[in-house]
Amino acid sequence: MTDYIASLQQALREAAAREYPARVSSPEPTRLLLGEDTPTQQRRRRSRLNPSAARRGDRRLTARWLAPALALAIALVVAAAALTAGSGPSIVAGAYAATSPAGVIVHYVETARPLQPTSGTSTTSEIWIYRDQSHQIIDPYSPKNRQDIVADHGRVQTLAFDTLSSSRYSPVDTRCPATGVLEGCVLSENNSPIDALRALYRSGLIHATGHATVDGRRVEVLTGQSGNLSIRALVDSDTLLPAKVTMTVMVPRVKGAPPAAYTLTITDYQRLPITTGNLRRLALPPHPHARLVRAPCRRLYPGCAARK
Amino acid sequence: VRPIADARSDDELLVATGGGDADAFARFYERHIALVLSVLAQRTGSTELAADLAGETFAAALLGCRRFRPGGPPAAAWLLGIAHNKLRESARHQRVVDQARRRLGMPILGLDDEDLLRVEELAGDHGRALTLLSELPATQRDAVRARVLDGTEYHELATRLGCSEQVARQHVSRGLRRLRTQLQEEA
Repeated sequence: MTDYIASLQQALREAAAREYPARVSSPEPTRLLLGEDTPTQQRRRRSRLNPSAARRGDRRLTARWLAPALALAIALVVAAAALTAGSGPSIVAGAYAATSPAGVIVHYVETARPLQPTSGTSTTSEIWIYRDQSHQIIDPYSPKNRQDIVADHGRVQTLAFDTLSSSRYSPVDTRCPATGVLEGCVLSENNSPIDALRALYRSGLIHATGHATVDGRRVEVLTGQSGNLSIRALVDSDTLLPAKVTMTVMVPRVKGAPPAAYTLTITDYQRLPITTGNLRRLALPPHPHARLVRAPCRRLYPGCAARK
Repeated sequence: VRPIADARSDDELLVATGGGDADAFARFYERHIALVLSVLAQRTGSTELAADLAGETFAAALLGCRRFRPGGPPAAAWLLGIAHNKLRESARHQRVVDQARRRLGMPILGLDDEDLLRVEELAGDHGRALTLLSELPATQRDAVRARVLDGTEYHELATRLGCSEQVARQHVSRGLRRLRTQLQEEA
């Protein structure tokens, strides 16, 4: 076709390529650790008493705030150290470029484990992030403790097991008061452990120290240390995408709890193309027994009140 | 232009465009160029003007595709809303605006007689959509016409139809879906 209609199409295609450059993305399907509850699981939940509701409620508040707090703690260390650090070697620069969040939905699984058992228990979360939208499933393996947190441009919705009635999930709807506050409150493209990892790559604190083999694939070993932060990142030798990242960092304070050191492990990193199906990962899963509870932001995110 | 088969929905094509898939926008263009030409030709009464405005409409859609919210009003309605705005802007400035094309560094393409015939043919092809539109149930027809062809805002449309904004959106959405189904069946 060489007519006006075809020429216009070609001009638009070229303009689209210039305006939105193609990004590296992996077509791998996402792995949902826990899908919708089965009727058996729902019955089991209904019949179970809930003696430790208050304690679990506290733990949930901590777990909810932990992931952003860890990201913030790492970012603070990086910001302090990066002032004197030089630029990283090419593998690190490649790993930084490979993890650009632009144009993809980033998916990963993180486990936060306190170094001192008295500081709490470990928490596993499965997370999807796209720009200012995120979906975090805390405790995806446990139907009783599972909690979904969805953030969308400052609006936060939570689907959690109802600790009072022991019988249903309750979505809690809240809204952070301002965009600036959002950064410290919830996970987003610019406030996540992956963003913190990228900041570490950029800071020059990480260096390539050798090779290893993980699940039969060759990986580059990147390590770094600064202050109370240490990191060991295994990145795929071909794609330079994270295979397994372990970071240890001191989190100053979470929901009034004393400072504690946590080890954060990131696995299952995936870059998902933006399709309608993948975008659904960012939405709150429907639940037949859910009832809406409105809660002030400061109740769920103590950091918001402090930053006002 | 015979659209190349692509299983992705309009929403997915626009989202993919913003994600760096230039071919996705080409597919979106193929799907809707005839409809846009048809509507613009009907409104301006000039094939040449319609072709020029269609270029600007798609350029503006390309620039704004990241603002498009999947799952909301249909992409066709969104696109025709842009076309309507471009038409209004052009009328105000007494010339076809080229702001979006300049921003994208796109050339302003000229049309020869063969091009004009081709544009007329395409606009005519999709003129069938306008005929089918008149055969829709009254509420859906009025809703689609007001929203898609005249660019009426949903709140205004709701007042005019005496219903809520949500219901007005449903009328438009159902009307467009029905039109598309009928066109597909005929094809």
